[in-house]
This record gives sequence, structure tokens and C-alpha cells, in this order.
Amino acid sequence: MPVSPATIGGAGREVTVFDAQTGRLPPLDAYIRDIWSRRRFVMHLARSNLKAEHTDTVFGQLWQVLNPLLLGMVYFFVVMVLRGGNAPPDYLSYLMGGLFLYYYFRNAMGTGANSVVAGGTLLLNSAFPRAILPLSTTFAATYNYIPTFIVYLGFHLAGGRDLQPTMLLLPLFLIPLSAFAFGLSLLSATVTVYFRDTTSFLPYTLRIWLYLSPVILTYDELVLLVVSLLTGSRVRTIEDAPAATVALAEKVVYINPLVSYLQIWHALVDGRLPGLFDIGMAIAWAVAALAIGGWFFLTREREFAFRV
Amino acid sequence: MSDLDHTTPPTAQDDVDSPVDGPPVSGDDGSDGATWPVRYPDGDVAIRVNNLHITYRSVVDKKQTLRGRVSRLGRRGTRDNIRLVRAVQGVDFDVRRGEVLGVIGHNGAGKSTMLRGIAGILPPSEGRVEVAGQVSTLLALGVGFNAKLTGRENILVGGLAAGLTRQEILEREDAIIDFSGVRDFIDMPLRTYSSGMRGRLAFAVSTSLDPDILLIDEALSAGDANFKDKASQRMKQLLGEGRTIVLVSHSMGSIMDLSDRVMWLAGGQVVEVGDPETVVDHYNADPDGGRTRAATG
Repeated sequence: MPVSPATIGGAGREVTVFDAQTGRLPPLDAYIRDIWSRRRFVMHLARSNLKAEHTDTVFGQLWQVLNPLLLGMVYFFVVMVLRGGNAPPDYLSYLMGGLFLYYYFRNAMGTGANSVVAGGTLLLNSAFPRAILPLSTTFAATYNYIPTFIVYLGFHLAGGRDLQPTMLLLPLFLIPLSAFAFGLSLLSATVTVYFRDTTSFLPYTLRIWLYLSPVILTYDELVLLVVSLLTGSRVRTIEDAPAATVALAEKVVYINPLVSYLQIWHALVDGRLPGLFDIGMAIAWAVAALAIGGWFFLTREREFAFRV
Repeated sequence: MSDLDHTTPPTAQDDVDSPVDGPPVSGDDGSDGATWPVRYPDGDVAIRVNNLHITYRSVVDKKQTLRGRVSRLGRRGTRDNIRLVRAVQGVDFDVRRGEVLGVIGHNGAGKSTMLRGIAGILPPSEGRVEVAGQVSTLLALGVGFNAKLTGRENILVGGLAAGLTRQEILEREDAIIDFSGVRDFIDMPLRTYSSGMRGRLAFAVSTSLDPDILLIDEALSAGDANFKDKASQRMKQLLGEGRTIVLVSHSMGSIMDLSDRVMWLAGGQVVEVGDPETVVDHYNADPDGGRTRAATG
């Protein structure tokens, strides 16, 4: 973006120019360099976000694990009741793994949506790249996710499953996952600045999202559900349905970005290598979320101080 | 580009008060031919403000909710609950490196908004701001402080936000705590502090950041007489180190004491710029704080 050159300062002085150009993207290289130079600030904000949460409860930080754990128990109970006591094998660890991953999203998006609005005085009184705020909540959510993984391992082993070498790839999987969460946080943070109701709607949207993801239902059950909806009749097994309908149903299920992430997760903990399609989709969703969320956020962030 | 030819270069250090007509500066189309804006040679300027306008929409009495949005849909013309606030309207000036510019004016004159514009916090709706060097802001009291964290942690956050490293902050920490005089409370959450204590801590933090440019809004009103003396001394020490300072205050005493030049704002426009005593005298003598003078130009 052409910012006209500075007229002051003389040689060797760094001059910052602010001019009227709302709705335009700031120069990205300078923006990212600015964030990098304040990386300690990002980390500190992330840590203090973690610290400030749950400071006044008895279990404190433990709630980060207890929340999804208790919710998992509730869902397990409900599903067992609904299915009359027979669930797929290893269902508990399947449910827990998916639920922890979903909780990571819920956390990242929930705190991210609030990050700018909650920035209040900080926003009004100091100038810094505003993306630092959702970035730090994304980091905090990622920190929070890591201990839940250890709890997951307990369920994994208790279900009689083995540790798999493919689990070593999980840290790599965190990269597109957190990038996607960050992109969505940028988007939801921007929307929240303009419509404060977003934070009230968000939990319901996220809950629906959970039911549409292979967490409580398995992927095959989701596909079967969509097939039933498409054909208008109850289909017992995938084999009973026309192949074209199944293919369409799979496409419909994949509209949900979480599906590819969860498929990768389930594959890695099962000792399988994830499919190339899932990897491609996960990366594509991450890039798309970053591009769209980033564009929304960066073109509007100069206005944020007026609106908090 | 930066080597504009100056027909009448102002004499450097000792001649701050006499207005000198600078060369026509690009983008400076908002000036109305008065004796100001005073322009200095480009190399000496730390802050250059050209035709700065800051306008924002203020939603009167309404939270920014979807319901509000929806109910306002379709009647864009009659947005009676949205008010356009023209907080700053076409301000032009230069601040030289090492100079202290005092800014005075009544509440709502646009002083704090202008300061936020210089800091890059609020975007210009028109015009342009250039700043040379690192800027530290001391705007309002308790800048960006988190009430849940302790004083010590807040020093760290403030420093990190300004781009200092953890090491650099730890080196300054003792001096900051001593200067603010809140050592007994430094490991307690900020919400237990009185507003004076917060102000003192904020002042101590932002003046310790080694900024090239320091923007101060009403900070000298923090604390008791004793602290005001200390603060005033710290300001003079910063001046001795060649810092550029823009100081907004309602205290005419500190303005006259510290400023090299004073700018009087009213209704978002400049009423007068010049030597502190003259401008403060005119300001005190004016019955309506310059609102009429600003409106008529």
C-alpha cells in the first residue's frame, strides 16, 4: 500500500507515518515485524489471560481439564442411554479425544471473539498491532489444550489401546489447527467489535458445530445421517444407499472444516497416517481462515479504538 | 524529498517562539493563511501534523448490538442516535526535536483525541501525522493496566507493550518502584491501589521507557504535591536529554513551567500557538475558552 514517504526526521531516523486510509490493508511485512518485536508481550498477555481465568475457584487451572472431562462424562452417559448401552468399541476415548479438540476450538474462538473488546483501555492508550490480542488468546487456548492431551492418553490406555508412533506427529498437526483457530479468532474478534451480541450467539453456534462434527457421532454415522436426510428415508447402512448419494453426503459432511481436523486426529491416535485429502483440506481451511480473518481484522483494526 | 529548500530557515536552538513561515508542505491545504502553522527544517522535526482531522461516529445511548443494527436498517438517512463527532478539525503544527509543546483547552476541545492521533492509536479521517522515533504514551491514568495483576506484573506488561525486552524492564524495575513510591504495595493486585498510586506508577513506567517522543495527558495531576515536584523534576531531566514532549494539562502552572511553546485548542481547532505566557494569558482572559475564536477562524 503506497504510503507517501516521510518528510521529516533527517537521515537515519525511523519515521512513522499515519495517514487517512481506512479500509486498506497495512503493509504486511512491517505489521508482522512489529508483532515479532513484541512477541514477549504476546506471550505475557497469553500467560496473564491464563492466570486471570479461574483465579477465584477452588480447582483453579484444573477447570481447563475438568470442563471437557465432565462434559465428556455427560455425553457418554446420554449416548449410552440413547443407544441402550451399546456404543462402538473404544467409544469413551473416541468421544474424549474429539471433545478435547472441540474444546480447544471453543476456547480459542470464545476468548478470541472477546479479546479486542476486552482490550479496552489498552487499546485506547497504546498503539500496537491489534492482532496481538487474538494472537495471545489463541496461544493461551493452545497452552490449555496440551494438558488435556495427557488426560486423553489416560482414556486411550484405559480403553485397552496402544500408544502409536503416529502420535508423534500430533505436534505437527497443531500447526494448521492453531492457524485455523487464529484465523477464526481474527474474524470473530472483528465481528464482536461491531456486533456485541456475537459473544451471546457464539456458544449456540459452537454447540451446533459440535453436533455436526465427528465427536459424539462417528464419521460414518454422520455420513449415514446425511444420506438419510438426502434420500428422505431411514437408511440402515451405507451399503444400502446409492454410491452417488453417499459421495454427495460425504461432501456435505466435509463442508464442516472441523471434520478434516478430527479425521486427522482420529487417524493419528489410531496409528494410521491421515489421508492426503484430509491434510490438504486442513491446510486449505487454515490458509482460508487466516486470509479472510486477517483481511477483515487488518482493514478495520484502526477503527477499533473508536468502538471499544 | 526530505531536502526541501528553505528560504528562511529558522535559527536553531534559541529562537523557538518566533513563528517562521515554512515552505509550502505537501498535503497542507487546510491552512487558512494565518501566521501558523510554524514549520521547521525537516531534519529538526520530531512530530509533523498536517491538516489532521479525527472524526468518529458516536452511537448515542445505544450499545452496538445486532438488534440495534437491525432496527436501524433501512433508515440510513435518519440516524438520529448516531452523532458524528469532529473531535479534531484541521490541525497543523510541527514539534521540534527536544521541544516541549504544551496543549491547553477546555474539556472536549480535542486535546486527548489529538494526542491519540499522534500516537497512532486513532486514525486520521483526513490529513497526516509523522513521528520520528519511538513514541511513549502516558494517556489518562493507569494506562493499559490490568487491575487483576500486581504492580510488578503491570510494570512488565507496560514495558513489553512498548517493545522493551524483559531484561531491559528488570533493569529499570527498581528505579520505577522507587520513583513511584509504591514499594509496599508492588506485589499486590492493582485494584488495591488508590488512583493516585496508579497514576504515579503509570508516570514512572512511561517516563522510564527511554522514548524519543513522550505524549503526556494530565499525568502531572496524579499524586500529592510532593509527587508533583518529583514528576516535574523528572520531566525537566527528560528535557535535558533532548526528548520531545507533548504535554496536555489543565494545570497552567505546569504548562508555563515546562513548555517551550503552547498550543490552545478549542472545538478541535487551533486558536493560538505561541510563547507560553502570552497564550496562557489570552486563554485565561477568554470568556468562553476560545470557542468563538475557533469557530470564526
